[in-house]
Amino acid sequence: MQPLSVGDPERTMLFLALLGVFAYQGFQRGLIAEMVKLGLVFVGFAVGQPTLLGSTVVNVINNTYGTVRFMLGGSRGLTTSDAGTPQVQTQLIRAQNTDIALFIMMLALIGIGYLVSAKMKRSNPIMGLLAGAVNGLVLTYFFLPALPDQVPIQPPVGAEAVISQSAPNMGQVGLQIALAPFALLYQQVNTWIIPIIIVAILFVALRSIKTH
Amino acid sequence: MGPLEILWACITLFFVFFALVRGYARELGVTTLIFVALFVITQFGEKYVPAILVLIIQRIGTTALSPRTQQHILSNFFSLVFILIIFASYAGETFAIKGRANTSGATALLLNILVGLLNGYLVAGTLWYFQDVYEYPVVDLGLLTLPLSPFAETAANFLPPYVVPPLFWAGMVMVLLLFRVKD
Repeated sequence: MQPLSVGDPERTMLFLALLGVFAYQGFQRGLIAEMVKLGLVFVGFAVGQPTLLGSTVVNVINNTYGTVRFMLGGSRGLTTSDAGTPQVQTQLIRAQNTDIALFIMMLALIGIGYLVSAKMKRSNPIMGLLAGAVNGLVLTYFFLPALPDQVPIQPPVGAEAVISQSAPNMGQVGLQIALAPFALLYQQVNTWIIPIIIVAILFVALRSIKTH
Repeated sequence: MGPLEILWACITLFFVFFALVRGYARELGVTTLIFVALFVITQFGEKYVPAILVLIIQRIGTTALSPRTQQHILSNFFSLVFILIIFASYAGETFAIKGRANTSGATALLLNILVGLLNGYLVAGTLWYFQDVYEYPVVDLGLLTLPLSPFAETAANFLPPYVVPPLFWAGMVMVLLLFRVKD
């Protein structure tokens, strides 16, 4: 038997406040908008990680850029070395800039997700509330490991650690990523997760019953 | 009997089926009575029933029961009371939340499953708790073999009475009753 524990109250309160903000936003925007946002958050995160989609995206961009330059300028589009062989000067994203470029792309995708969801028609606000909370959980999990040590919440296992593990296949990594936010939620609120889930189910079910 | 967690999962699955057939509005009535049972048993039952049992034994004048026998009696008594309350909540005129609930569509399906899972967790988890807290009396009957699997050991930490204080059940009962009488 484990005693009831919520860990550090300040951390837990901040974490729950963040979830509350995202859940409220989900309530306002509705389910479909939140699902779109969640999808783009996941895509953005995958693009931000070289081991997932990042390297592929950089290669595609560089190859496309090189091809376009070659087509526009012919062989002049390519610089040559002294020996006369083409050099890899056609890269739009160079190796030393890859990390920052991927980070900007990730933020851009997440930003697009927010903009698109803001324009969508509101539907099913109750389920949107839940989806918004899940969004908050995912974003909290993805971004907090990248913040400085002084932030109130430092999850022991961050997304980068999950990715850097020797995962034999993408499915396993995907499963780890999908479950990781819930593991983080459990780390933050401990066994209080059960009462929180019970209240959430009852709240959603009762709100959907029309009394008049 | 196979692994305890399999039995637990099967009971939970049954309640999901009940919810799919009956609808979540009716199942919330069952949830209310489960909350009542949990509150009464965890707040008062576990405190007073053992003392009453000792008192009865003293009045009868028989020799004192061994701790293991007491565990058997208490585990069976609480399980039986709990099962009777669950049975009563499904029998005859059922206690349902008034109002017009969603009966079709993905949202209704999802709510039926969620409320079914909740009821299944509460019922199966509480029956498991009555075994766990009294050190698995069913082992003596040959119905279960210890040790539990590692998964079951972990899952046993999340049984409803372990992770939820009794007053929470009372609070939830109040919320559900207020919702029922709102109109």
